[in-house]
Amino acid sequence: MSDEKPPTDDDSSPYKKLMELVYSEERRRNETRELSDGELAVAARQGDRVAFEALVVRKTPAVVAVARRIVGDREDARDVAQMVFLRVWEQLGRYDETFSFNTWLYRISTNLAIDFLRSARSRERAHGATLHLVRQREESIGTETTRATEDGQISRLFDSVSGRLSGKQKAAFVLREMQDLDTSEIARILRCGESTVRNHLFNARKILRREIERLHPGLLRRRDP
Amino acid sequence: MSISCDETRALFALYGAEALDSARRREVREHLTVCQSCRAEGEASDEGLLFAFAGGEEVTPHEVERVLAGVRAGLDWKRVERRVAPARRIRGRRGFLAAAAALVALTLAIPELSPRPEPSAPMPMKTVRLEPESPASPVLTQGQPAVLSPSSGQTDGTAPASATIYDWNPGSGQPRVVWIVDRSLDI
Repeated sequence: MSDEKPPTDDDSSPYKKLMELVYSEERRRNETRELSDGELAVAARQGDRVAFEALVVRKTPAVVAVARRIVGDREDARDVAQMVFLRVWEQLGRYDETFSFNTWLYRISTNLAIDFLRSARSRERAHGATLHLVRQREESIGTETTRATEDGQISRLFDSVSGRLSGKQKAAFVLREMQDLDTSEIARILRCGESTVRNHLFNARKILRREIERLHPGLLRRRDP
Repeated sequence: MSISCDETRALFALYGAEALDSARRREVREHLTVCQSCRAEGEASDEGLLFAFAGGEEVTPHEVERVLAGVRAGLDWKRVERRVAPARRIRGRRGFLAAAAALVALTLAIPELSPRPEPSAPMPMKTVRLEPESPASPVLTQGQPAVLSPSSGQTDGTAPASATIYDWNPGSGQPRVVWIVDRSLDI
């Protein structure tokens, strides 16, 4: 058939263009592994999507972990993480590279997780009767456990006793105890004074202790008055 | 281990009261990561230490992939929204222009509102002939076989030897589709 011509030099040029497109992205992806978070953020701000995706991959575990503690559900935490990175992409223009990228990222993460928690709680109020029954069942299961020492159990224990914390209290406690951040950094993340952070931590601890003693008596040793 | 078990246990109360400086606090936590008996003691005495090492929920690579896929979809959606938004604004502007034109037409149509032009020689009419539109995409001829020519290992330096190229319809004057298969790529 006359139409079936062998590829000429001109025909091979699409290969080169496509190859360059695909492999330049791959090369860039390898380069981004060497860059710091701040450098990636600056590159992403200039429209480098490969750098932004590298940042997403690198930071997803930390964002999901924090969101998971605050919202109390893994699936919801993944949704929050997606919202966080979309917000990061939108607000990269506001990121000041002289400050820690982690602080900025945690600020967006905790804000969105707290917003999510608030909306979830308002939904919860709307379906209060059903959830009350579910909670009663959870509490009865909880009292059967006398000692929750395994990591997974402790994680579930936190979910069951942290329901009475406010969003800020929960965020402060999670960032302090589970992410091991300084109170000064938590203050920058939550945009409040260090004394406010200490106050949140004090109240969070008090509520958690009260809930643990109520739901899991004997798990914590009583403090001397 | 930088501090002893006794020292560590003596610091639990200060840890709970947020009264340790960051270096001392780090020492306590580091000790608890390696000393199980002190950790159990700490977990039993302080609610902060009870939850400090609550792990067991590692984020898997699959979950990271899911988040990344969601972010990509979100970014694409935002890009589409940005493209659509100016079109909406133009549509709005067009609506305004159409309303203005209708108002002008109405004004001209009502004899009391518009000044009647003086009778003069008829204006010459301009005739525009519309050509039939060409098809948007070429029509494929039936019965014409597609050419599939795999070739591996481009030697022009743009791709490694692991790449295989599938070329559909090379040089046939028809829409051309090229696949590049390279399992070494981390996409």
